[in-house]
Amino acid sequence: MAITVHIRKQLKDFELKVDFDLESGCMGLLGASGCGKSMTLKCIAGIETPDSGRITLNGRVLFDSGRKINVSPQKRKVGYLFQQYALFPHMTVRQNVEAGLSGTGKKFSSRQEKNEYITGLLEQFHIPELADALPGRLSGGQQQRVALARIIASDPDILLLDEPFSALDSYLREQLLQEMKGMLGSTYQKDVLMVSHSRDEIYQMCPRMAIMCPGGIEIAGSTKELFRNPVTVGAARLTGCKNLSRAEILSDHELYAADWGVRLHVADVITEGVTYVGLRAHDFAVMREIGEVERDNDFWLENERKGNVMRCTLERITEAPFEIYLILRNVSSENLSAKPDLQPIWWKLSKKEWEEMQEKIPEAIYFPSEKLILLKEEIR
Amino acid sequence: MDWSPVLISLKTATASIIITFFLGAAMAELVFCIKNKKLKMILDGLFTLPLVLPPTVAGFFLLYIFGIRRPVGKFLVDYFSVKIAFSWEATVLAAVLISFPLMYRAARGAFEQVNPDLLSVGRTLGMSEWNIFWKIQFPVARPGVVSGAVLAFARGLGEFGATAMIAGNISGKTRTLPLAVYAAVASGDTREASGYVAVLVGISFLVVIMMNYFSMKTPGSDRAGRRGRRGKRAAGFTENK
Repeated sequence: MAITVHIRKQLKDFELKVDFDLESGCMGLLGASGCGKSMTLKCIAGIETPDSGRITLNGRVLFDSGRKINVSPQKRKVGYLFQQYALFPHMTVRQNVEAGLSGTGKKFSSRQEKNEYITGLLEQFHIPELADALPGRLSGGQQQRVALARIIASDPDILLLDEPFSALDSYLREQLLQEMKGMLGSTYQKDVLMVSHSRDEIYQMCPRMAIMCPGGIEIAGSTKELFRNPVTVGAARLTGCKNLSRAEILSDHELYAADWGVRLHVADVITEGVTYVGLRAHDFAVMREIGEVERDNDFWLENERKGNVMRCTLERITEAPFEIYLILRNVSSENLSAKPDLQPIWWKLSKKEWEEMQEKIPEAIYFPSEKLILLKEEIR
Repeated sequence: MDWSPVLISLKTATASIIITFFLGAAMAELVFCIKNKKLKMILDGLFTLPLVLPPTVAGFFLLYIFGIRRPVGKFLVDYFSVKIAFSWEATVLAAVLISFPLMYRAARGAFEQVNPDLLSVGRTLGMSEWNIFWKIQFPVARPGVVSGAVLAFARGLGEFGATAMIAGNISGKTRTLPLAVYAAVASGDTREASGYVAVLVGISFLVVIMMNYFSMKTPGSDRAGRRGRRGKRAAGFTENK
């Protein structure tokens, strides 16, 4: 089981370049809207035609511009779950699933046998009671189940999920995500290529991922590894790194974060090409008390010289249900004024941490050197 | 009152709507599928032309093509002994030509309103193009197509100008209701004219009521089947891209 995709397609604003392969399992394509994620899936399914390149699925060539091969979508055996599920509105749930059987060549000895088969499928998706309902009457979650049952009926070699949860209410999302993971991972053992702009969904569903920026794939690899070390600025942004700054390299382990105005020691060796530094919003630390030292200006100046410390002032405070965001600005110890040309810092605290701090804004924050992420512009 | 015009009119309108329905839907599908924008525009213009031309001009063209001394007309007479001009068939021909654009435009508008994802999903599920057209595209577009067909039927029933040109006004043969009204008024028989007018108004009103009924009935729901709610499909004249 494997899919390889190497395609080029001229889109309105940029040329889409996509190269990746998937051995087996579930892979996620993470990217902002309009970066060509859905277009990539449509090219694989044969709904859109790339300008050039090659797509193979389990050794079958689906598209090869060099050899002028372009297999019709009907023969590709690729299941496509549309964002809005695209159920046939004039057909009942049963007829919708039956439409999925049409391309498989499955033969049933009687109408009854076919009906039983479809009912069995609907039972697997916990919707047997909806068999005679029209899609317009179904909730988003039910529509998704019908669409999945219909795809499973068509017995595809790979499943393409286009933003599968974006049409659902948020409270349903988690539940259906777990359900789908179980269905596709263990019950049917299908290979899955999933597109999403939500890092949470990708992280939970897909052990492997590729990060897409307008123009193509920025970087691909293990999901966990990419969240730990996104390598490029674009990838860092998409994996949810809120704090990013241009970096001026000072030595092997030291740099100056130009957008924050802070000297930073980093644990990793700074390799060539590093131009940015990032720190996730929850990775900051409070400046711990250092004895009973009087914290005058000299104290801060000295600490700033040592690095990884920033005196700050609160710009805004934002409260989410389970966390607090402090948006902080650098305050220079030299003239004690906020620097408007510098980027604000986002610091995420759990409510518990916030209580432990007695809800007081600290005078300074600390950038832990082992948490700093070194980033490159791009690796292409 | 001579009832032959009523009979002829109903016969003509029925025969012509059958032809117009399939021809119009087929041409709508053809133009819908064409990717080349220029060709699409030219064909669309050509198919809409009979709607904007005066019916007499459309009739003039028919006469020009099917007249017995014209190549096509002569060919039909010589090889099939079929004389089109001034025959009952000519009334059908005229009605088809004039009502065709209504059917074509309504069907094309309805096809364009079908969510393209539905067709794509049909393809990825392995349905043949034939099945995709008849089981998805056509049923989803049905309200628009049907209301277009009803409108085309009504227009065929009321056809006057082109019919007069190519079929003439032969009592009991090519005299349809509109021509009968004209003939009655011309000969000063207002009583007979009002009779025909009453029948014509009655049928036409019924047709419009039917059209409203069909366009109100939507298969499934709007939510799942259509892209948003772009305009009324009632007459099918939604948008021309």
